[in-house]
Amino acid sequence: MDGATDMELSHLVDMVTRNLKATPLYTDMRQAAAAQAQKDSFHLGDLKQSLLSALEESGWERKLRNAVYREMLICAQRELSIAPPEDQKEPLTYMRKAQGAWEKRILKSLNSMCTELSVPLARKRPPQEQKELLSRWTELGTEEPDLSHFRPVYAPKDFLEVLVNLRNPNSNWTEQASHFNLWGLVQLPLRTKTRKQLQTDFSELSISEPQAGVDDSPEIPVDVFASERTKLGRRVLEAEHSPLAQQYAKKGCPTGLRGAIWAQILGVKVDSVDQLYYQQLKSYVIHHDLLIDSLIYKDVKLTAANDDYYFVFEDLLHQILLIFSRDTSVLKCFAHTSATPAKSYIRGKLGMEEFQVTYPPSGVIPFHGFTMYAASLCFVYDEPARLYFVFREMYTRYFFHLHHMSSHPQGIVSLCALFESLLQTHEPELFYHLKGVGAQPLKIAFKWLMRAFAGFLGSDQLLLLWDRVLGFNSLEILSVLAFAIFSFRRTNLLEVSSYAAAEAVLSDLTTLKLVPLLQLALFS
Amino acid sequence: MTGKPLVCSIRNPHPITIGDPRAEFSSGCAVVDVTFPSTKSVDIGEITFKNNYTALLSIKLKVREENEKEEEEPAESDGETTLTWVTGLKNVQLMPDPHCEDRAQSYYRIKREQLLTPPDNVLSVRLVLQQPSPVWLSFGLDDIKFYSPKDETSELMLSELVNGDMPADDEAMNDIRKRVKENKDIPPVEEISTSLQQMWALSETARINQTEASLGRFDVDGSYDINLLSYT
Repeated sequence: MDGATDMELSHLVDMVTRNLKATPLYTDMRQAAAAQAQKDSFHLGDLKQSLLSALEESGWERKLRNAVYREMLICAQRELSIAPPEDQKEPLTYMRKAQGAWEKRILKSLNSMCTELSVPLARKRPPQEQKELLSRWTELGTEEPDLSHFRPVYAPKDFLEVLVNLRNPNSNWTEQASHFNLWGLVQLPLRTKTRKQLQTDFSELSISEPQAGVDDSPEIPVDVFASERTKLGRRVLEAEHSPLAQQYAKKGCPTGLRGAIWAQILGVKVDSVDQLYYQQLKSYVIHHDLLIDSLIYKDVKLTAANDDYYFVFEDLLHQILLIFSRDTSVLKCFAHTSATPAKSYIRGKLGMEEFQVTYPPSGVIPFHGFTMYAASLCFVYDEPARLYFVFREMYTRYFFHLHHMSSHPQGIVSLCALFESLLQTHEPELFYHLKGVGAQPLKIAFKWLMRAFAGFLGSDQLLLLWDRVLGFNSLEILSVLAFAIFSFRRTNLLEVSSYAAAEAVLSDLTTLKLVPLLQLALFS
Repeated sequence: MTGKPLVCSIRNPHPITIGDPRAEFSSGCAVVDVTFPSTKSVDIGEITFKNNYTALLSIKLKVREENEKEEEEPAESDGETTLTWVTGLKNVQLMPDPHCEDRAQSYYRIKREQLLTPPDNVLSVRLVLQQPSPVWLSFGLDDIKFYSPKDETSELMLSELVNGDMPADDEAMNDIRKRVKENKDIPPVEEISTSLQQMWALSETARINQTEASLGRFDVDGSYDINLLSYT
């Protein structure tokens, strides 16, 4: 019954072709085909056959394959087409309801901030102000407006509180301890992978395989691993094939090639159309002033600008995040998750369908620490437009899952459950001890997971981690790492007797080496 | 792709109990009885439903079988035909892990090719639901729908149209035909159809050439002034 039947397959093909027709690739290919067909060597009789082979030779087939691969990644794991739209977003009813209630809470908090400070959610900037903003576009960080009244809409702590209170109304769960009660904070019977399954999934990480992050360290001579690896990387880049680059990233990327490899995996190629799009988004930022802008501004100040590693990127981050908030193409990823973007009406047109708009235009309301997703990418890309498109792709593919409630195996709830089940199964003594002293492990690990470790690990180690996220196309590695860290510091943790002490043991992760830790946790 | 939905009455899941029905006992098994009200038996093309925490599903079909030779069968005898219960599906797993949420509320579609016996001449259907896990309070199936096989109805309609013998009770249609015959102003059918075909071709090309790429505008008529968010 599972597996794609013919009908499901044809449905998928339909969807992919429809999506592809909306991309510039379609028109470009048509033009290329027309140009080929006008050549003299063509005969009408075998037009189709020779056109196909001509397109294949001129490299279009590769491009099409990459585009289809990208679409397949997005379209995969969908509910049957007979299911109503809300079920296609999220099959579990109570999860949908919980996400709805959480969104309502965010709305209320935003609305009350508006009324308290008596600022509108969005307004058009007067021409003078527009000119002024344009002139200091590259030094947005220097401005110091008074934002003391603005507060982040929510922090990881608030979100965790909501997740912890999630209950399945159909489960035999009771407040009193019973055998249905789980040890951890996540009380949902979600299916999680065992270490054995993870070992097969992440087999490329095994100790017997040479890895970037271990074998390229300065103590080891270059010709043992690093130079060969870079050579291979160059060949992968020449091939211009996404799945190939993805396979390469499983063992980590050399620093010099990382930007190009990632862009190839994500299918990001910044051409003139993209540049134009970027400029258009910029002009939107100039034209309209949003309340979200102040929140973004404040978040950059509180996180990246306050950090020893990331403060240099402050101006760049302001640009990227402001532009991100105006990008309506981000809305597409709401089709696959339980989340729905906030809605509003143009002033004075309340309740009129045609004046309904999403707020912010991208649909994403930033939380405390959101900036760090983008900040870590600044080490890889220096050109704003390229940085922006890679960030957008990373967000819509991965980070998006980290702050919405869903039963998706990549969703934050499943990741939390995976972390807890790993720790309980393989470090039961540690887990029981921490639970006993009131330091539930997830309370400490949640902020790591929600931010994909951005800003917690050393910056080079973080990029090695994200190599693996992209390579294995999975966020589960985050849970594995969180488990590995607890397991690694277990001796110290077993001696603590309070939550604060446990947090202190785990407060500094910058000295950790990622790959040996993961190998220790998965394969020892 | 599917035929038209079949009219049927679906009973609520009936839990199987042992001993005193009032005693609290969960056997982890329930049955749903489905009967088709028409006196004629039906052919099933497809079954769709939304799972609601059921782990395993079996389908039993009560079918009318043509009796070739006189046999002493325990089934109810009905002249030339016999009513027998056959198994359509046996313990098909709907939830990969009965203790976990995975696919607990997902939609399913079962096509006739997937059944063990072709579901023709069916009088009633019994769905046997099983949930061995004690984690869940209740289980069942929602939104159960039966569809007839696809081709049968459309072919019938087509043959009727071609032969021109409309059902006698279709008075409205006859009325229209009469009027068409009387009215001489209407141009010949061929002319209408060629011009219609052209129009259809035009609209088709227009539809195909339309892209779904959005322009990325978020404002309405250049205005994006918002005071508060709406809660609906």
